[in-house]
Amino acid sequence: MLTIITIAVAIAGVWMFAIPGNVRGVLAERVETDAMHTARLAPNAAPLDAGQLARLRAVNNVAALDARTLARDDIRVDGRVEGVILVGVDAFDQQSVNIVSLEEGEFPQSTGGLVSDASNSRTGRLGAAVGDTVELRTHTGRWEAFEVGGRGGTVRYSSEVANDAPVLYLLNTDVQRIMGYPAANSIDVLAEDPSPTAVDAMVTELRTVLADELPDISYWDVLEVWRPGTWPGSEDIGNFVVVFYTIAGVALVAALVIIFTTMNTVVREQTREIGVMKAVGGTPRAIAAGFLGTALVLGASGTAIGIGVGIPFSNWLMQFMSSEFGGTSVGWVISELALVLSLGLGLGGTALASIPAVRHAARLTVHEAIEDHGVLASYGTRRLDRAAARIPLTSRRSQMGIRNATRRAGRTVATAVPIGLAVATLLGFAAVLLTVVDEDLRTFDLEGADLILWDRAPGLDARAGELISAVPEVAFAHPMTYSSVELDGEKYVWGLPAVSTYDPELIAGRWYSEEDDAAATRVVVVGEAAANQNGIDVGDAITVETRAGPLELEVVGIDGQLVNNGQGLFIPFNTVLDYEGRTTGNWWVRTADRDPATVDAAATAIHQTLEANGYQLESSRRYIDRDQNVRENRLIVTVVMAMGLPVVAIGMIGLVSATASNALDRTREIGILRSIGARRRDLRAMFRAEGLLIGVLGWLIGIPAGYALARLILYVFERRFDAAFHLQFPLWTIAIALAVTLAMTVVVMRFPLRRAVRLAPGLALRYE
Amino acid sequence: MIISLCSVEKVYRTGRIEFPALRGVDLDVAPGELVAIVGPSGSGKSTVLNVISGIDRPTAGNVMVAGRDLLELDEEQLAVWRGEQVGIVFQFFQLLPTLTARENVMLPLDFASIGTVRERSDRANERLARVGLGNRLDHFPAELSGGEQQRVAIARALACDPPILVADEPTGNLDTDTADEMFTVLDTVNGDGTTVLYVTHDRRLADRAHRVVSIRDGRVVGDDPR
Repeated sequence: MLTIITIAVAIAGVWMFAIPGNVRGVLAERVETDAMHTARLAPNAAPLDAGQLARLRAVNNVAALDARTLARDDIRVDGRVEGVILVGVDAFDQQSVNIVSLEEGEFPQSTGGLVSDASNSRTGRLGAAVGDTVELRTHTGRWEAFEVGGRGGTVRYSSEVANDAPVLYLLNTDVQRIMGYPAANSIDVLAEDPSPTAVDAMVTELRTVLADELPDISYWDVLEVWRPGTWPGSEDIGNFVVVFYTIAGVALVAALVIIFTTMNTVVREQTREIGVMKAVGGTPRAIAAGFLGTALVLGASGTAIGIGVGIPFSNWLMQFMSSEFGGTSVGWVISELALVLSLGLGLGGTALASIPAVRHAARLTVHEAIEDHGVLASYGTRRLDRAAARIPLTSRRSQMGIRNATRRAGRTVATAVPIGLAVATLLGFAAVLLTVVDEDLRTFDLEGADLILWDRAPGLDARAGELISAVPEVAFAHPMTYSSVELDGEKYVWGLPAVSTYDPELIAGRWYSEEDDAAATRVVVVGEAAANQNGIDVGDAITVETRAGPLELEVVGIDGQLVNNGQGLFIPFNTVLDYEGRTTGNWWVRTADRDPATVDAAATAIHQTLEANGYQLESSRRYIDRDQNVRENRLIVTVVMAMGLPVVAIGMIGLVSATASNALDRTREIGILRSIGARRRDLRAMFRAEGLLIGVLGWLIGIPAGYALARLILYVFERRFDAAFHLQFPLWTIAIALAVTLAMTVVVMRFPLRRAVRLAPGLALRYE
Repeated sequence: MIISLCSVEKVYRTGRIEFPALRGVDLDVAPGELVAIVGPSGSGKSTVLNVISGIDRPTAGNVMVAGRDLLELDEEQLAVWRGEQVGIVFQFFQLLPTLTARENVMLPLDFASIGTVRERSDRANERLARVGLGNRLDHFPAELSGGEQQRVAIARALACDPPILVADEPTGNLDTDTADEMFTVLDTVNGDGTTVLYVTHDRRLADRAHRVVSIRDGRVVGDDPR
C-alpha cells in the first residue's frame, strides 16, 4: 500500500511538469481571443477624429487599432478609499483590440456604468459585485456614483490587478470626464505580422502619422511591445518553470529511491518463498517475471491514483499561476504530455527501480534463500557496528535504536535520501525565496526614503519643497522622478539629484555631479546587471528609447547596488524633466528617526501644509508599502512551499515504509524484548531513536543538497535576469528544518509502530 | 505453590483454522523444583511454558504464578511482571544481535530500572562469570559459539534474580557435550533456590530433573517425581 501511495505521490508531482505548458497554452489562447495589442503608444492626449483614426488604421501591418483612455483614480466602496486603474473603451460593442469580454452581467450602454475586472474579486482587491454601486473621485475632488453592470476583463489589463490595483472598464467618455482628460491617451495596436522588424516598421510609421496629425504630441509612457509568445506575466511564469521542474524532478528521484528500497524489502520478505520456489523447480526467469509483474501492478495502481490526484492538484496550481501572473482564470485542463509522462514513469520507472531487487531474487541460491532469517546475523563484525557501539548513550533503548539503524545501513541510507531530498527542497526554496524577498526589500531600504510624495497637478515645485523641508519631522527631502526607458527591454529610470537619500555603490566611474544635474547633462549611471547585459562600460554613449523618443546618454558610472535587480538607470533629476518636457517631479522625504509614528506625523503635517497652500497631494508611506510587499511575497512563499509538499510526502512515506519493514523484520525480536520485560514505551523509544537517526541523516544530506539546489535555481535566475543575487541561507532555516524533520519523523512513525508494539509476545515469537 | 495451572485450555486460531494446543492442563509446581516437561512435537509443552510466563494467554482456566493471577494483568503489567518474576531461555538463544553479551544481560535490568547503570553492569558481569563467560563480556552474539550464546541467554534470564526460570528446549541447538554443560548450569541455578522448568526432547536430560511432566495432545499424561 505504501509503495502504491509513494508512486501515486510521485506521479502527482509529475503533473507539475504540465503546469507551465498548460498556463502558456491557455494564456496564449486568451491573448488571441482578446486580441491583445502588439504595440501600445501612450500619448498624453490624442484627440483623434474618425478620419485621423482611419489614417492610423491604414498604416502598413496594422490589423486593428483602438484608442483608449487609461487613468489612475480613487474608488470609494463602503466608505473605504483605494487606488484603482480605469480603462476607457470607445464602444463596448465595437472593440477590436484588447477586447473586454464579460463573464457576468452586461456592458454599460450609457454613461454611469462600468465593468469590474473578474480578477478584482478573485484576488480580493475589490469585492464589488454586479449590481453594486461604487464611487469614483472626479478631477474636481467630488465623488461620482457608477453602477457595476458586469464582470469580465481582457488579458492585458486583467494582469494589472494582481500586480498593481483593481481595474475597471468604463466608456472612454466617462473616464475623460471624471479625470478631466481632453482625449484618449492610449493607442492599442494589433499587428498582422508580429515579427520584430515588421512591428518596429509599423510603430515608426504610426509615430510619423501621429506627429503629422498632432504636431504637439508628447508621450506619458514608453512604447509597449509584446513580442510573439509573450504576454503579461509570461516572464514570471518562465521563472517559475525552473521551480516546477525542479520539484517534479526531485519528487521523481525520491520516489524511485523508495520504490527501489521497497522492492528490495519485498524480495527480502519473500526470500524463503524464493528458496522454496527454486527448490520445486522455479527458474530464475520465472521468479524474476513474477516480481516484475508485482512491480508493474504496484506501478499501475500508483499511477492511476497519482493521475487522479495530479489532475486536480496541477489545475489548482495552474489557477493560481494564471490568476497571479496572467490575471486571468483558466478552465480545467488535462495535459496529454503529463498523461504520457505519468504512464511512462509510473510503469517504466517502477520496473526500472525494481530491477536490482528482481536480479537479486533471481540469483539467490536455494540454500541462501531457505537459510535466510530476514536480518543481518553478523552484527558486530563490521567497522560501522563497532563505531556505533562506541557512541556513548545512557539509554539502552536509544543505543539499540542507533545500532539497529547501522545494522541495516543500506536501508537507512535509502530511507534518509528521500527525506534529505525533501529537506533540500524546502531549504533550497526557502533560501531562494528569502533571497528574492531580501532583494525586493533591499530596494526599499536603498531608496532611503520614508515617504514618497507623488507629483499631481499643480506639480510639487521648489516652493512645495521648501514647505516640505520646513516640517519639523523631516530630516531631508529632495525631488525625484520615476520613469522608464527601452534598452533591450524596459528599464526603470530613477531621476535623482546628485545628492539624495539613495546611497550608490559605484564599482566603476563616478556618480553625476550637482553641475551635471543643474545643467541637465545627458549622463547616466547604469546598474551593474543592465551594464553587463548590454555590454556597457564607463565612457560609452548609449541610446535609449524614452517617452519622448530616442535619447543619447553618456555613461559616467556603474552602480553595484541591487535596486531593481541591478537593472536600474540613474539619470540626473533635471535631465529627466528636461527630456520628458516636465517641470516638476515627486519628492522623497526622510524623517528624523525613521520611526513609523514619526513617518505618520510627517505625512500628516506635509499634507496639511501643502494642501493649505493649494497643492494636491498623494503620498506613500514606505513602511506600509514594505509590509504589503512582505505580505504579497508570503502568499507566493506559501504556494511554493505547497509545491514542495509531494517531495516531503514521499520522504515521509519512505520513513513509514522503512519503519513498517523494520518492525516486520524484527517481529520476533519484539517478542523477545516483550518476554524479558520491555514495555510498549520501551519499544517505541527504540524505534523512535532509529527513526530520529534516519531523520537527522536526511537532514544532514538535505543541508548541502538544499544549498546546491538554491544555488542552481539562483544561477538560472541570474542568467535569466542577468542580475546578481546575494544568496540567503540563514542558520535559522536549517534549525527549523531539523525541528520539522524530527517532529514529522516522530509523528509519522506512530502509525507503523502501533501494530508492532501492540502485538502479543506469543504471536510475535511465532512470527515467520 | 509457586505455579498453579487449573484446567488451562489454549486454542490457536489462524483464519478459520483452530488448533487446540492445551485441553485442560492442571499443574502445580512447588518453589525450588526442577521440572522437565516432555512430549512429542506439537503436544503443547512449549505452550505450557508460554502460559506460565504470560507470553500466551489461556483460552480458558486459571493461571497463578508467583502469587499473581495472570489473567488479571494486562499486556503492559505482564511485561513488567515477567521481567521481575520469570527468566526465559529460548531454544535459538534469541539474543539481541546489536548488543554485546554484557548489554544483553543488562537489558532486563534496564527495562525494570533496577540499580544504577554501574550496578547493572556489575551485576551483568557477575551473571556472565557465573555461567563461565567472564572473559566474553564485550563480544557480540555473532562472535560467540552456540553454547556461549545460550549461556548468555541463561545469564540474561537470571539478571533480575527471578524466582522462576523457564527454558524452552535450551539444549535443542547444542551438541551433546555443550548440552550437558548447559544442564549443569541450570542445575546450579536450581540449587541456588530458583524454580526451573524446562522443555526437552532429550530423555537423558529429562531424567536429570526432580520431576518429569509428560504432555500429549494438550493434556498432562504423566507426572513422574524422581
